[in-house]
Amino acid sequence: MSNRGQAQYLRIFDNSQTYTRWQSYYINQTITLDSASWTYNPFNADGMVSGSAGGSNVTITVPATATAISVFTAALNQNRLCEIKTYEFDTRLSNTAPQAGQSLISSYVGEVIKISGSFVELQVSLGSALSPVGAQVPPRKFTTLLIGAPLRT
Amino acid sequence: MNFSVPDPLSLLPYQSGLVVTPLEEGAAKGESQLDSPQRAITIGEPVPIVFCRRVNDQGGVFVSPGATEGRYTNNATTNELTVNLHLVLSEGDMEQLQLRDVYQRACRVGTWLQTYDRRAGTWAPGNYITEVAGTNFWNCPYYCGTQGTYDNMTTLSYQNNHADGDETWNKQVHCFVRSGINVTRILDNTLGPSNNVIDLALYLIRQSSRFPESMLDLTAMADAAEFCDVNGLYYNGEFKESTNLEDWLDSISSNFLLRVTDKNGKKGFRPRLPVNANGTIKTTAITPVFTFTEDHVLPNGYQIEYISLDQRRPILALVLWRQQPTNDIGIIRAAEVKMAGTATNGPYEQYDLSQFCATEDHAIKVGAYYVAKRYYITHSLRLNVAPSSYNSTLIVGDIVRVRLRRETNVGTVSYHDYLYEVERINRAITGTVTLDLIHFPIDSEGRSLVGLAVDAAVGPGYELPTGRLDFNCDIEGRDEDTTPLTDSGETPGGTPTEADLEYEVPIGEESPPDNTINNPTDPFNEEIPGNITGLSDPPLEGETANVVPPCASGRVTWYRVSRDIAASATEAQATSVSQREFIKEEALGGGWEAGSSLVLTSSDIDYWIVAEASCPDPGSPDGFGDRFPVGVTNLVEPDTTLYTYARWNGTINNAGSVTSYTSAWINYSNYLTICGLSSCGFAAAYITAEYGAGGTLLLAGPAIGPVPWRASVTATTPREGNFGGSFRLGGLAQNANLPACSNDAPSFSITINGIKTYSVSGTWEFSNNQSTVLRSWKGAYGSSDPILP
Repeated sequence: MSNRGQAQYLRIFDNSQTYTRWQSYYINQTITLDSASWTYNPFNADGMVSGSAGGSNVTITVPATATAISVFTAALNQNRLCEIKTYEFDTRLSNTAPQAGQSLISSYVGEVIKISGSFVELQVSLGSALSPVGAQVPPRKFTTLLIGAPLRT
Repeated sequence: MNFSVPDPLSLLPYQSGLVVTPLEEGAAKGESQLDSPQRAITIGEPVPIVFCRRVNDQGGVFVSPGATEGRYTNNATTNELTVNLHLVLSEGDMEQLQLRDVYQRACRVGTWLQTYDRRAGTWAPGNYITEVAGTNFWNCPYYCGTQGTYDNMTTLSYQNNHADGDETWNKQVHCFVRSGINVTRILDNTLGPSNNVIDLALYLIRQSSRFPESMLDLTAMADAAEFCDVNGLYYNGEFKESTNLEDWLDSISSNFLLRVTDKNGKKGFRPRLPVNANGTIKTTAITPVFTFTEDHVLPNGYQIEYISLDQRRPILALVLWRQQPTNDIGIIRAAEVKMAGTATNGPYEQYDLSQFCATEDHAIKVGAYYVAKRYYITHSLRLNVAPSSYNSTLIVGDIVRVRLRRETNVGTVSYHDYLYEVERINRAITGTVTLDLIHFPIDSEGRSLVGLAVDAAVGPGYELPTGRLDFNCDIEGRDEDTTPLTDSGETPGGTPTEADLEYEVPIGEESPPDNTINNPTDPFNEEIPGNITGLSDPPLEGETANVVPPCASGRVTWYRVSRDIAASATEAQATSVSQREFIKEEALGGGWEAGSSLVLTSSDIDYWIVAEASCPDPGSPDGFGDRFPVGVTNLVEPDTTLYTYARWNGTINNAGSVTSYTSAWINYSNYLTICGLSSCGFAAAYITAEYGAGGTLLLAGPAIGPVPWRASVTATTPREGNFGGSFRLGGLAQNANLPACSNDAPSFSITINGIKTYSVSGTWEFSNNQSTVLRSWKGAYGSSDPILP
């Protein structure tokens, strides 16, 4: 029998503040981790991959509550970041609050790049707005403002 | 439902950059055509980025800037032409060029100015050529450009004179840039020129404004930058071709022995080779951080993919690079790299590094990596393993050992026993860990074979002559003149402003729609029009009901529904067939317009009459389609005018104490009724409710009436507690209520004491001879129950 438990934590933030802290392990509890409060919200995040570019396909599945829709659509509209952390711990020792000796086994930071789903469930994809197609660099182009009407040879 | 499918293992060598095959081969892209016509910049083309830093007599880049403005004048006597060109060298600011580094064609000539963030020089563009008799006419451009802001650009002004008939007046100008644009270097956190590709990658990522700073793995970037710096992998190039940033990061990384990584969602670079803490290539024994055995691998958790023959066959790597002398125009070189004793006559595979590689060792190391990994790295592996102690320790880039016992012959045991580099870690929500591993070949001393090959790869150091014999076309002394170009320019007035060129779309505020829902009805879901005709309201026994179906040769089915089952006509129509009593069904022929008739009988008294229709359907077993409602009547009542006598027959329920009562026959003239609830206090009166302190309801009774032919009344005391009082319920009356609080039967007195229900409940019986009961009726409907707030 495995004694390994894994708890996931979700944080939505930007440069100025944190907007949402959720955890999905301690049911109906608000727990404290890293001196911050994490409220219970059922979700799971899968597809967290570290390594070569192209492998990550992180998807958060969450009930389509009004709160969840509001949180994630705001994140999508405002380019907020979403951080998922997974901690591992011994379930025999405590299931009421995060254990001091738990280990961080994965972490992922991405922008909310896509939201889809049904009326009752949302799938939120994380990644970056860096599109694999389309010209992006050099970032600046010669414009009329920069060079006027240029010489024609 | 969600499907999550991992990338096929066969893609791993490509995703990790292990397999890098050039899609096209051609002339070196770093070559500059010296004697071509001067290029003019076109609106929309990318602003070039000159990124280089010449250190230890290595590096720098030769660029051919485009012109944005021109001025052409000639001497009215000698016809000597004076050409002024305004050029954009690069985005960003950079050190002043030296006089020895600016050319027209291959010659160091002309007068030059350089500035930043403004227009270089103060001359006005235009064509002022006049025809001089007996000389050649200068056919210079007529559209000479207008001025712009040159925001955040390094610009140049070039001026030169050309004697009558000189055909070189319109040739391209060139610059050798020793120090490119200033960036904050990641290694020393200093603003200045850089030749580190990581600095360029960070500059582009940040300038592209598509990637948040929080998603950059700056630690990995710094390690990669140190790797490049320590191993002499420098970027000296002009970045000017529009491309996709991710494509560029992927392609450029392999040419610097790096790979793009996505660690915890953060983008970074990682050396393709094992490295020491100081960034040098590790050439000592490698110790794996973990050994996976049968104990760790899950069932069906082993998947191997050998690299295909086309990616394993030895090649001769032709690596193009740029030899850059200190005081002369650079030349393109081709380094040929192969594994010893292989690919003597090819096949060739060309890797063009000439746009940015200005050192031979860089080219040789890249070539050595390409041929060595083809030679040594044979396969990749995917392991699904159960979670264990490595869950929190194993990271991408670690070297692990996989040792799996294999028994395929009796008495013989072999092992799949190799070292691997962890290329990708996927930790699923279920707890299982998927590791994508790339073969990490080692020698007998446990050292990386590829690392050894690349570390040992250095160029022969041969300096190829440029082929130029003299510098006669230079202004004398220019080839050694290190004087910086004069910083002079202007911020011209009269240029278009942002207001002249931009349009901002105003942002509206979204609001939800109003609450009105006004959808058109769907005729297929609406009730089919139809009704029951021929009846009075309420319908009386003996009347004839009629229904016309909405279709020719239709069918009508009649049902009755008891008032004990349905409380209203609507409820009656919604009852199921099992709750109804079937009366009759009539299929109509061609004369269907007359409809189906039903004479109401005594059996229909106290029933709702429901009519349904169905239309012909040859596909149905009975020849008709589904039945649909076309009408429902109110409760059928007896025709009281047909009878002489009536009596009440029922029970009296005094809070659970039940007695029966049958009244005498009454020769009625109009109607009989059962009276409601009356208060027997000082002023006796009929009431519907009695209230206590604070408006608390203590007693509720039915409508005061008189209600003709009401046969039942009920009252209730809905609260606990003894509130006393004197009330009376019931009493048989004719054509009016009895005086309040009359004690005529069937009635009884009530006091308020606890939650209780009181009722007088019965039926009317009709007769013409006071002995034979001809009809029985539960009386008027809907007025018996207590009126509750």
